[in-house]
Amino acid sequence: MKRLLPRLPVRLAAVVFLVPLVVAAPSGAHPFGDPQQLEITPADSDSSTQFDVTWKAADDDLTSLALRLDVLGGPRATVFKDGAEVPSYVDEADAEKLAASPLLEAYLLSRIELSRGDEECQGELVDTDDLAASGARLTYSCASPTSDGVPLTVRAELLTDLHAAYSTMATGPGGATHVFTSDAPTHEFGLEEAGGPTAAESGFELLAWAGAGSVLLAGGAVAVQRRKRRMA
Amino acid sequence: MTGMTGFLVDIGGLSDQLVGFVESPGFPSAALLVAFLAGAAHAVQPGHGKTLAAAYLVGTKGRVRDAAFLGGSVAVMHTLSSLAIALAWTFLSLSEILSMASLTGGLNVVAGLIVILLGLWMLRAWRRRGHGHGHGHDHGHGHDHGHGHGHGHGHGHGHGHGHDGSVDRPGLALLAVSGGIVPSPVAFLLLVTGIFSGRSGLALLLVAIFGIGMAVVLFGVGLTAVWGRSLVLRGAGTQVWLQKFSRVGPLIAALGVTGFGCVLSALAVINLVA
Repeated sequence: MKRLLPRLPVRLAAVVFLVPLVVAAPSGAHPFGDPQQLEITPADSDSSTQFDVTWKAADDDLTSLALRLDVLGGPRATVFKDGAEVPSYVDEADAEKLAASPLLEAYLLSRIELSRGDEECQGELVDTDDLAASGARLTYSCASPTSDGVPLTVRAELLTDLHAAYSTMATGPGGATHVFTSDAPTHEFGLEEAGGPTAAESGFELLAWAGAGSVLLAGGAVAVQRRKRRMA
Repeated sequence: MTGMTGFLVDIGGLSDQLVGFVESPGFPSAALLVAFLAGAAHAVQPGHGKTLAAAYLVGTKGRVRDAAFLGGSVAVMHTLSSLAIALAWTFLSLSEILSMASLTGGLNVVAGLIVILLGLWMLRAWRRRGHGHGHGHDHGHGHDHGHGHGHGHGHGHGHGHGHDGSVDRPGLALLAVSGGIVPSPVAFLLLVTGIFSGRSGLALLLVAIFGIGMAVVLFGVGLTAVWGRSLVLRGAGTQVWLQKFSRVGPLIAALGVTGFGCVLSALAVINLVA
């Protein structure tokens, strides 16, 4: 600490280098969005052949998809936010137009596939009444497997055709969670048990790590204070 | 997400890589470096109260340790804020109550109001100083040096209680809350991805290192302010105009911070209702 500040030329160079960072203009808001979600649940408690699937995406992602499927009646200007090209504005009617288009069902069924064993499940879009708030609901009917314990295989490649970085936060029939990406679009969910970590388990782990980190940080702060007091 | 929006590096690309590390199995050590760079690149972008931090540190005769405290506090606040929002989004169905855009907009308003509060705090400190304690505390003795010879011309006044217009830790903490309360999209996405992929520990580690990257940049900004002030003072010597300016400097800083907070709040409200 004796020579906390370096010599004058070094200080001058540092100031010249760092001034542009200081005078940077303040920003507005960070562009922020909800990740898309996929929830797969058995249609009833005993069912291992009927599944409800709900897909939910943020408003601006719905608008991007509507533009991609060309259901808005024309192009729209785009802007860059956080390095992503997004529509310059989002209209409430965008989601309604997308929901009303038959192209949405074709898109979702081509992007979400369920299968058990070698048998592919048959999907159908059943509800898009409140696409923006509640998402789109689909049902899938699967053939009865020849043996127990056959997992449910899900392929989900939602919006990855718009940009490869899109990922989908999914919850499977047993409560297990998974992240679908363009690199790993397929996952097997167990039906009898979760077959993987649940959100609750991961959340608990996250809190435990956060607690441990806080204790470390507090311990470090106390140690520094004690050292300062000793040196004073 | 491939655009070049960062000042130094492609923050979109770094963010994608970072989330990819959590989505993929294994523990690539490169993730730590990418997290640090992404945090630094994020902090270099406009926002986070860098201008305010500089104004505050200049106006309150901040020291190097104050700049370090500020950087560290912003990092801690940013990590806590990201954690709280990611948990609320996952477990409390936050998105059904309000959209992330609304939440972020609301937090920006809060950040702006905190800056106004800070400006008023600085004004109060300046008034108190003018009414009683007088001036002339600029010649500290560097008692934090440990083994020094005592320069006699140091820039540290040491006590940091704000009684002479010098830096106040509560004020710095307010600035840190304002700078870190709005989480970066990638930090939020990292934590949510960590929860859903069962790798929440790694996600939190990367968000913490992301915060350290932010802290280093903000510390650099703080140093710029502290050194810049020191350079001006040294270069100007004992000129009369400087002495006069040093008396009104804290007032100008306080008014500037208050005004800046008003502008920030107004812009945030406009963005929120637009």
